Amino acid sequence: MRMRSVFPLYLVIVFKLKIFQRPLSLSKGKLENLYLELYSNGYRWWRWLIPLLAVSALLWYFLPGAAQPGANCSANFFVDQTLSNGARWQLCWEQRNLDGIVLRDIYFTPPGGVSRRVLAQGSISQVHVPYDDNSARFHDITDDGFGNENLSNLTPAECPNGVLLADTTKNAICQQIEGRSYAFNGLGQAQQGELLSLFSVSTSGEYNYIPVWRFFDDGTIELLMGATGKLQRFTTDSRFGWPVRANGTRGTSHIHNYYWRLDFDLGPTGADDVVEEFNYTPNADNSGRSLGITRLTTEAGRAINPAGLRSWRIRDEAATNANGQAISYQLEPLEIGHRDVGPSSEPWTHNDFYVTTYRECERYVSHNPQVNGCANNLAAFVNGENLTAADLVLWYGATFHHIPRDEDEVYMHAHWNGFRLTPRDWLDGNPGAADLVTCAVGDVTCDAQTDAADALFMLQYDVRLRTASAQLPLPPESLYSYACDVSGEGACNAVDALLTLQCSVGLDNKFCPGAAGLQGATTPDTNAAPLTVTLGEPVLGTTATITVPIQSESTTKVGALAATLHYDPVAWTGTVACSADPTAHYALASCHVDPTSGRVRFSMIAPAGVTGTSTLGTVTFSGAQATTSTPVLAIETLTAAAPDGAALATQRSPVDRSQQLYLPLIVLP
Amino acid sequence: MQTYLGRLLLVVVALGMTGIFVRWQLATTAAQGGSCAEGSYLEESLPSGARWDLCWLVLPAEGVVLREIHYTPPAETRRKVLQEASLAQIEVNYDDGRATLYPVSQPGLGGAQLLTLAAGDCPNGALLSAEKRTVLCKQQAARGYLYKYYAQQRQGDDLTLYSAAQIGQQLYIIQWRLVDDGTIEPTVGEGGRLWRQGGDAQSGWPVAANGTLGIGYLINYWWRLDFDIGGNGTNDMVEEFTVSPASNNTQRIASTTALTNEVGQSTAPDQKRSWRVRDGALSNSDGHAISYHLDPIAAGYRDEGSVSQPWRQHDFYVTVARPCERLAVHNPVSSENCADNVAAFANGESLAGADLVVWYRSTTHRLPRAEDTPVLGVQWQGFQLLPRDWTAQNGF
Repeated sequence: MRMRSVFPLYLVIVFKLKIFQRPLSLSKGKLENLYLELYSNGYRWWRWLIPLLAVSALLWYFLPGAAQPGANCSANFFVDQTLSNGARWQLCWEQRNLDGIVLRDIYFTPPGGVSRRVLAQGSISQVHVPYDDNSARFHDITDDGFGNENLSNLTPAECPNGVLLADTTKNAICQQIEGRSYAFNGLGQAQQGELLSLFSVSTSGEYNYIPVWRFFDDGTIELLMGATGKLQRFTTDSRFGWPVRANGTRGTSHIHNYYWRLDFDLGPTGADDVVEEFNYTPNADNSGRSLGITRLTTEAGRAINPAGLRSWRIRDEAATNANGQAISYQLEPLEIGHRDVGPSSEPWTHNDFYVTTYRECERYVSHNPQVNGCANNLAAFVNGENLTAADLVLWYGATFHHIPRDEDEVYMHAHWNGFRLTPRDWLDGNPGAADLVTCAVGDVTCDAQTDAADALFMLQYDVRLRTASAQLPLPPESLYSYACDVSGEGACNAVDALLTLQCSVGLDNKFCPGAAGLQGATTPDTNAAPLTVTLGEPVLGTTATITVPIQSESTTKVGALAATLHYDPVAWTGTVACSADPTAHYALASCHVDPTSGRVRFSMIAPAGVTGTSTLGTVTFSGAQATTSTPVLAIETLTAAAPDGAALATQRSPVDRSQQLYLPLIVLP
Repeated sequence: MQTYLGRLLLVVVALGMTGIFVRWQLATTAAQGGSCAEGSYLEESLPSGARWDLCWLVLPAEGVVLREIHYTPPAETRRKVLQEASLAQIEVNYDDGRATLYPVSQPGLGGAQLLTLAAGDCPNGALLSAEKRTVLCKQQAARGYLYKYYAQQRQGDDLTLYSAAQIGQQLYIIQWRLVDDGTIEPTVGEGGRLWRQGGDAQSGWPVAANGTLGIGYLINYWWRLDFDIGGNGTNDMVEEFTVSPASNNTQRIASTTALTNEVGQSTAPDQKRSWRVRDGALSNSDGHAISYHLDPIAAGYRDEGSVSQPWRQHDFYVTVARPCERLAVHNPVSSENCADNVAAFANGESLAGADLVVWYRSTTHRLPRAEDTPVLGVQWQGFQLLPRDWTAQNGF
């Protein structure tokens, strides 16, 4: 990984120097010399790769628009922040009269990974505020502006534990690093995450708006808008407001439509990005759903669709992660509790997500200056242009309908809206968890295979012949704890063993990786006749032993069967042994005696299921005591499952009325 | 004779009133001294002047639940908001339709599933114990602006409480954020690792170089909120807010409707539908009824459910409190003859004079990414309860 990223850079440096000195002197021979310098150990097949890499590196370096982080701004306007897990964000910022703070050339470098550009530019492109009584319909960005005198000069008190970034005369941005709780938590390991936060404050009338950009250490970008200040308008009409004073004065309810403009340029070039829409179709009875992906090929305005789980992503056509998957960012509209489609005179409110081709003069969602042939609003920017090989701009709106409350006076509590851009396949794994080693679900032996050995380990764990461990490599006599719960109910038992064994012999169940499986295994099969377990007649051995057979009987197919029996370990001083499934009725069986607690555990599985009567196992009490004493054996727990994993009802034999079998003292003649 | 009867009636009424008053007083002061009928008492005064206090305990199914939640705004009366708040089910439905999990009922978020937290799990916080295990992290943190108006600004704080439960490959972080302005934000973070792999391109996403698919899944989180606003739980009322267009779509009119009977309702972004629970007697000094507003701003994806799974059809339910109605789905069917799920709890009983329980469902979906191996990035989902007219003014 590191070699791949450093190598082209090294070539660039070498070639830049060479070009500078002798621009036309590059020949095949010189390249070969360079190749030999770099790789003297003689991997001959690399020889064709070197010139190819060199050319692509040169192209990459000199391609127009493919700037380096910070190349387009001075140090005062460059943010370069490395977070605790090693992730790095680099971007330029500037202040504009209307937009307020605009971020440019935003690069993300994952821990130990490649630096890549995400956005060429991101900004607030309108704050549209229609009041419920239609007394005002503000367009705060274009008609008032978020920059200049409307941009607040922040004080250190407003930026605790942060840094204030100044634009000539003013503290324009507060830069902070915040904890964000768990980045991940699983497999017994957890890591706390961080994010870089950049906010500014812009005033518009009585309102103070807080645009926030949050850059996470996992590549996520969150765009938020806070609104605070004072209520702007009041009414006495009960239809349009909420009483906020004792005299009945009402704060007028209103809508904030916030729009962001996102000029994505994923990777080296912005001309090969593709936008896709994700929609889900429910299957019959909504028990599941199917994903359909549609590429948007012409400029479009699209509406949210909560029931269809609609989202969008922008992906690169060329750049991939180490798995060979296209790098992309996903926009999931997860804060859409309020939505507002305005009158026909406000067509930009009729959709929530837009994609257009880049035009310098298309900047504002509404009241866009009609210069250079640009339209007045976002809905009109969408005029059927082809998106293929074009530089794309995404526009997204979030809505909040504010019904004032008593608490909004004198000063209004800040209220927040926003959305999130999440990397999809930007990386080939969870950043920060690169060192985390694990084994697949079902692979409790950690040998990279899920087979009968795993099923056996699970059975052995079920009868306490094994312990569970989260440590790798596995300690002896253990299984990997985080891989055992195949069935998802939180336990490691015979059902997991059964499902694992089935998959390994090609009997499909819903937990087999990549297999079409059986339906609905989690609900107990209550109609089936219960499985009956009986403690059989004790058999007296020739050498001071008493063997108790345990019989099971079932008319329905049994896939997994487990039983725990108990005897008094204090009263019985002799040795106790067990044998599981002596007639080999099941495919895999195991048992174990714990002389400390006096428990005997049996566990067995049959992938295709078995019916009829069989000996589940035997318990043998031996020692001199066997000729004089009475061991007391009782069934403590019984669990059984059908071949599909569904729980089966169990019962102890009616013969065993007391649920305990007192063995008769047998006196030898 | 008539006057005697009248006097007798007066005396009876007066005694009754006194009884109610004393009971109310007892109810509002029960946890003041730091004692809890069950569980542990927790109180936190935030630097900005607000105070939260509550009781918490661990139950086998729900894990950590909060009880007797009281909010005290700066220099104002301490008042009860909720008698109990809990995560009442997690419904994980896999996209291939072959598996649905209900970890709150099977095996439960308490017991061995409830994780013991280490100091590293709780940066800048304090670990609290139940049954000699550190299971709850309490953090106090700055949260940025309470408000800002030009040069006038105040910074706010919040109190965060969370526990975590692991069930096989799944891990849930059950969090309650109690903000100094009275806002209550319940959220669940989903971590762990991908459980089911395989399937086809319509139900999953490649997560590894060899093309292995992680199967996507939808999650419904259900919360149970037993409101007892102001201490007396029997005079609370639920109102639904709806916003309709008027005057050629240039105006918006918000209206409120009282919900009089048990019912299930759905979020509706275009109508900006929301709900509030308000007290029938107590008001702030402006004379406005004190209330908590459930405005589902954070609603995104929505699960429409089906005929055979009616509880999935709605996002918001209000029911009359019954002790055996604990879980939104797969509720333990007890001897008291309680139903299996919230759709059956909401069977039209009158809400008048009853102790009310609000159930809220929030839906999310995870289509795995390469970034979700070997462990999932934590994904959060939740909602906010906002005080409405709890105080006559912003008290900060």
